[in-house]
Amino acid sequence: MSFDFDVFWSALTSRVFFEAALITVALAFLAHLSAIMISLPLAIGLESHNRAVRIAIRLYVGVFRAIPTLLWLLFFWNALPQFSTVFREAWYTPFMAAWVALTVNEAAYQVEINRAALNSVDKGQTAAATAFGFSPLQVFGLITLPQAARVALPPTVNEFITLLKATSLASVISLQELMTVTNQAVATSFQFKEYYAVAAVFYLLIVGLLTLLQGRIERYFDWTVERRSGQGWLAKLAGYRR
Amino acid sequence: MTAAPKRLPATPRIAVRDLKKSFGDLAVIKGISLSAPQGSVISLVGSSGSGKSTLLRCINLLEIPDSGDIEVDGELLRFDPKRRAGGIEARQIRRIRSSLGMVFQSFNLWNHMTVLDNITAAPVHVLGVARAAAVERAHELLKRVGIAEKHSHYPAQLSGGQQQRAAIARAMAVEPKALLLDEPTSALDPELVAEVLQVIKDLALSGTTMLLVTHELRFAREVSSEVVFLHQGKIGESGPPRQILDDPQTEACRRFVRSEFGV
Repeated sequence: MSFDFDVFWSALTSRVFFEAALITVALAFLAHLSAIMISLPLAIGLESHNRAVRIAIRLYVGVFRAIPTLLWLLFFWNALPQFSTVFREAWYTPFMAAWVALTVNEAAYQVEINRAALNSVDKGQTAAATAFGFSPLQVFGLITLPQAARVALPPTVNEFITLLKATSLASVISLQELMTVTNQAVATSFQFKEYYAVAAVFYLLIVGLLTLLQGRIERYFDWTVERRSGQGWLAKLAGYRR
Repeated sequence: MTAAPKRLPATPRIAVRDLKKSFGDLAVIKGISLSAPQGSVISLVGSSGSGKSTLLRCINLLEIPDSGDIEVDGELLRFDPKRRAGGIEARQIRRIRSSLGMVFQSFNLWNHMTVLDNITAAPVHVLGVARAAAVERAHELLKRVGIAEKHSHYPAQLSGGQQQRAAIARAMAVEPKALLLDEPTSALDPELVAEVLQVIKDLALSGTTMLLVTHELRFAREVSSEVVFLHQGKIGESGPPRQILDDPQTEACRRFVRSEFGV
């Protein structure tokens, strides 16, 4: 049996696969973004003097890390509407359910990354900022966060790649992401290898672009190369050359 | 009335009265008073554990004293042992901190900022100085400490001596009422000590008020207007450097000076 290149190419350049890839990227990006926003205060809370706070966060991490992503997806799509009619309305799409499920799951993983990164910042760095009269918020935003971000970046990109592929699980709740569209194409044509190849190419492209971006960001965080100061971080990121 | 007007006693840049600080059951500072007039250089010496670094950290409120007074250029802080943070408001604590320049033993330059950004950070983010003005002043200070060409480097690219000189420039950038130096040369390789001491000496000669915790007794004798020998959380002896270092009156101070000078 030969590889039907025409089928492969027309699917690769089709609107439906492109849109599915966009949904995949958007879901992974949004879920990771909200997961990071939730996990950052949780990571800070893990260092709290309040024992109850620490136990509550440990409990959250324990529960949400132990249960498989697939179960969370099914729970938020099938079971949650049984709790409240709010989740039976039109706004609660498969995308919303997948977003929530992946967020709560991913936040549990990201907490540990953030905690390790925040702890890695040398106490002398924050002491110096405090000594010059920085407010606690300034110490965190200007000193702790940028230094922790550098440490957190490689494992966070790793997490994102895992999350990107985990979005394929959302095919069980009929979200029109890459794998769902692929399976639908296969179901009617039985041209497995052509359509699987299309999906594989899309995942490769997305992760490849991401890896390039990671390299850029890591060089931005490389504090051993002389650089003009006073540029915005975005300008540095875009215009930086080694 | 005589023709010569009587000069008012100038407000000391830093005055400390009966300061006490404990960590749990361990009393580290047991009632210390001292006064640093404008332009004075006061060296705090003593063996480790004598409380000299803690005293410095108390003065810029990195540690909150249990009781006593601290006065910075006329602004009085009276620490109430019964109240949280000594009863001092967070805003006032930050204002006092931002009016003093601190130099640490391990430099503590911010790793993720260039030398220039390190120096402009506190003026811009704490004192609200316009960025352009802060940058201009930073370049002047870098010239003064002899590393003008290093402004775009990161701390990791500098030698220890250059890092400490940048840290001194950072402390001077807030136009401090006084410069607090906590063993500024203790973490340096021996061959790099001289360049940092030279910078400190230049600042002393140009009238910067300083409190200097140091083990460099020869240097302390050279630059200080007063040497304070701390012993077990109290002032063991204080006075002009020659008196304290060449002719100590107490046995504890004699023993300390002898062990430090190695004679």
